[in-house]
Amino acid sequence: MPFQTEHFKAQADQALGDKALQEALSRACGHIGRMRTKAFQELPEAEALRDQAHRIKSEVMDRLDSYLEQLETSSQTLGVKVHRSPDAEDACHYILDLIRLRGISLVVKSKSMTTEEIGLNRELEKSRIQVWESDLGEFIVQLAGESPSHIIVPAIHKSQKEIAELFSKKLGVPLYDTPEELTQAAREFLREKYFQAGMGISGANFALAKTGTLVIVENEGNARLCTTLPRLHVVVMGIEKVIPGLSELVVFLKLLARSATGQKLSAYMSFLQGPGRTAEEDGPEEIHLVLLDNGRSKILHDLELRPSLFCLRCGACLNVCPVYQRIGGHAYGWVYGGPIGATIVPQYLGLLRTKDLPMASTLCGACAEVCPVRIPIPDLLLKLRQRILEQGGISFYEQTFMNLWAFSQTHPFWYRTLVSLAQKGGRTFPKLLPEGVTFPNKTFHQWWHDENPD
Amino acid sequence: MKIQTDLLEQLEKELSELQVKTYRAESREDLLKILEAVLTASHSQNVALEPRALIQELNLEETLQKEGRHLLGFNPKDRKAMLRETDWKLVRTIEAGLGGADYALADTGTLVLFSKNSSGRWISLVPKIHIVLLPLECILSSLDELCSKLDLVGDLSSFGSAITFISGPSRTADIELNIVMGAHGPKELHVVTLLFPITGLGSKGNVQCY
Repeated sequence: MPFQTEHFKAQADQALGDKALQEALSRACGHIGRMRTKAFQELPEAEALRDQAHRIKSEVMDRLDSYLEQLETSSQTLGVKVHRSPDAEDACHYILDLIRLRGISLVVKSKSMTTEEIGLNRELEKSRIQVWESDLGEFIVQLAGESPSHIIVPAIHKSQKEIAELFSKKLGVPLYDTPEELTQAAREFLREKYFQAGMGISGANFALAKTGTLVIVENEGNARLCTTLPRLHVVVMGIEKVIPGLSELVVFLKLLARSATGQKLSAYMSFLQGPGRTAEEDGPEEIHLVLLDNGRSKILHDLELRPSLFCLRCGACLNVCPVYQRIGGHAYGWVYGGPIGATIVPQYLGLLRTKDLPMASTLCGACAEVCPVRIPIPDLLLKLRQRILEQGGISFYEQTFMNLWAFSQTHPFWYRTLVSLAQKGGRTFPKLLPEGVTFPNKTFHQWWHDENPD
Repeated sequence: MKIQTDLLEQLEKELSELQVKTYRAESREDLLKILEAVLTASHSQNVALEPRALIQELNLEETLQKEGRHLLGFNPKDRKAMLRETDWKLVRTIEAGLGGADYALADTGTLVLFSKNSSGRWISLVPKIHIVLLPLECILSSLDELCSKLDLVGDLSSFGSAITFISGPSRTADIELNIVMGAHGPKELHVVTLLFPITGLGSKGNVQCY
């Protein structure tokens, strides 16, 4: 995906002017947010589980290397080939080589933010490999030539009417007017692809170091089809997804679906443990696990920002964020949007080209309040702002204004003088003010003084 | 069995919230009636049986087989011909899959399938209708209870290449948040709890073996 994080302000402005997007976002975020609240109210131990989840992630990060080694060994025991990729390029190359070596021309994919991150589809298409996203939302976005705008509901920005027109144009089906017919059309189209595909590519929500079990959570069943029918299954997983074992997994499973969609558990959870066995009738013959670093170990060593690696990609922070709710995912300019996107994207792409993202927050703390693994997102955003400042990422005028502001705040005389000047200026030249803004007759201090003469 | 029947009630409540149809079979004859009704109502003409010990033991093949219905039974040759060798051509024609579950979790309405016992995964995945036979004693209270059982075994891979947790039919909400069933997997899920004992099967150590 082309990086457009530099154009955040323009993209956000555009989103703010898009009425249909505004409506779709407020409906979706409100609905999913309420579902989540209800699901958490029904789980009395939720707060304790969130503490536990934070602790587990924190402990894993302390010895991530040894968990990864353990995972590598246990995966190999299951007959899974493990490849460690330092970056996006290496991961794409590895998968492309595999495709060429096996003579594969058609690939099906189930939703994976990690493969969005490495721009895998673009690389595959460049090499003329047919690749189909199979999650309905991702499929819609792919047909439209766009990118996902929400972690859980990728096509949140598209109306049913737009989807009907898109399907009619691209799939040659009638202009359907119910979600059922549209879903059925996608089902029929993709069904054929699962059976024909030589390779299924998926992400993984968790990997158990002890047993090598890969865990995929979903609702549609497309990940099950992608990981069951094609002969070859490739898993692309960020290294931070490893956890010790089953007892830790249970903690996350109880939190994940509740946070993402308000369900107790998602419709499907698959624990995958190596290729299909001789006595089994299906399952892939070969599984490759690509363990992706792509900047993660750098974040790991940055102790202040390390908690951003705890993220489960549940999307809960997006739904409650007053900024995301207005501008949607595309404005952020890269794969991850919302509060967590503003936190991790600058760490992946570098601070200077992403400096608007950590600024695009009111620091209201709603994200931290819902995060299932208690990532202190507002604290991390503040740290990032501080670093942007240290790297000279703000303009001379902004810096000068801030210095002046700090000075006035610590010098009452100058504060009163400046405020009084601003008030007089505003009264004298009202045309200089933004539309609808008027200044009062008195400053606050004057008003207070008049009201309380003693 | 006081506790089991309480769990069954809780399970059925959760399942119906997930839009799963639930039934109770008091006897084998009862079960056959239920199955006949489900298959007829869904116009399922091609039905595949899961080669799981429970399904084999129940000996349903002969009775379910009738005019106008094609049944894929347990003959390994027939089954092999259905699978990869023929590019799944026949598998695609199957409308209903009849299988079992190794466990059910009452508090979330979840079915647990070990691919080792179900001889793979496609019966619960590819057909539009998925019918699950669940022995009453396989109902557990929660994910926690299941995991403590699995933990006793330690080696998760002994349950097969996949442990699948199913909570309701395949679903999506990707078009304006409208919930639609049957996105990619089964559109209908039917769970029949078996209240009668099944001879020849039972628990083996900590993990039941059906």
